[in-house]
Amino acid sequence: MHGEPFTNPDKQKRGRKLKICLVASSGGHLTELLQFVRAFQGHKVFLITNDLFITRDLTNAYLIKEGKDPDLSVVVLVFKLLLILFKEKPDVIISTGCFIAIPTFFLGKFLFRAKVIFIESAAQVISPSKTGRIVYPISDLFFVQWASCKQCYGKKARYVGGLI
Amino acid sequence: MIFVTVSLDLHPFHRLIRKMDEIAGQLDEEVIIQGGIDYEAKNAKYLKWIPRNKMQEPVVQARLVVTHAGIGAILLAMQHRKPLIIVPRMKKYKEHHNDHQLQVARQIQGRRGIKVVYDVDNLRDMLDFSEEPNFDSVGKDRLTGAIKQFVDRLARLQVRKNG
Repeated sequence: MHGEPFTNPDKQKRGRKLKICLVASSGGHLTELLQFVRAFQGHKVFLITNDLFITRDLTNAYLIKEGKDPDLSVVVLVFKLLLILFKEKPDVIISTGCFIAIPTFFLGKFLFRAKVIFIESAAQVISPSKTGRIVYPISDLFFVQWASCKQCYGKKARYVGGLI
Repeated sequence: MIFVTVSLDLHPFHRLIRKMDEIAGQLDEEVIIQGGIDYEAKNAKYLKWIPRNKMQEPVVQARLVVTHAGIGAILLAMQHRKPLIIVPRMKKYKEHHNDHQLQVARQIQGRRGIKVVYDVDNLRDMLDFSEEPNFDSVGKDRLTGAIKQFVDRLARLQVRKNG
């Protein structure tokens, strides 16, 4: 609305409510990612993960079934992700891995201009993950959880602490 | 009560499950195993899977937690300050697709309240371990804070841009 930033200092201080996409493979990667939910307080959050019996209790989640036909499954995955991203239009996409992060990051960044944040798993102590290496060049923020893992990546990789 | 958890992995962790089930038959203490596979336990109480929102209960009740070197399982035990014995899954036994669990185990094995056992034949002698791990969430809080700072700054920039 015209003039609003000048008449609404609280909103300017707080900012707009962002749409945040959490994407992670079910299991350890998802468990780790959910540890950081306090970072998104005040914003709208949705989740993308695998469709398994262990993820069906999640709310605000898109569950992606693995394709049966390996040749089709990448196409199907990209199509499903595009539908989700068109609907949700996230401002930020954040992931701890693993492979599902890759198409989500690339589609999100280049088609929807989302900022992308990657947190390397605490399981990676001295070596980079395959996912991390692929998304590192396009990540707007990139964290490792061990100081010993900083050397696996370039200058962009930040270490400020880890879960364990 | 001793709680054993190996989460869910494509690879079974027979080595730990069978040994703890065998040991359960020699103890007066209850042993509960969450094993991730279909398995007929002889002595221990066995569950294939525990839902995420119920995982705290056996950890809270346990005197000792025995686990693979999975981040989630380690974190849960540490958060509840339970003495922790870690048995890393190993690629050579087809328990995992790589040896990252060995790396994690080696990284934290010197810490208070944490013991690492590589050979399950040594487990029986470790089970009176009672040292409680220290745990603080400083690392997690810093990382959460760094992400939050980025997200909140982006939100403020968006307001200035869009009005």
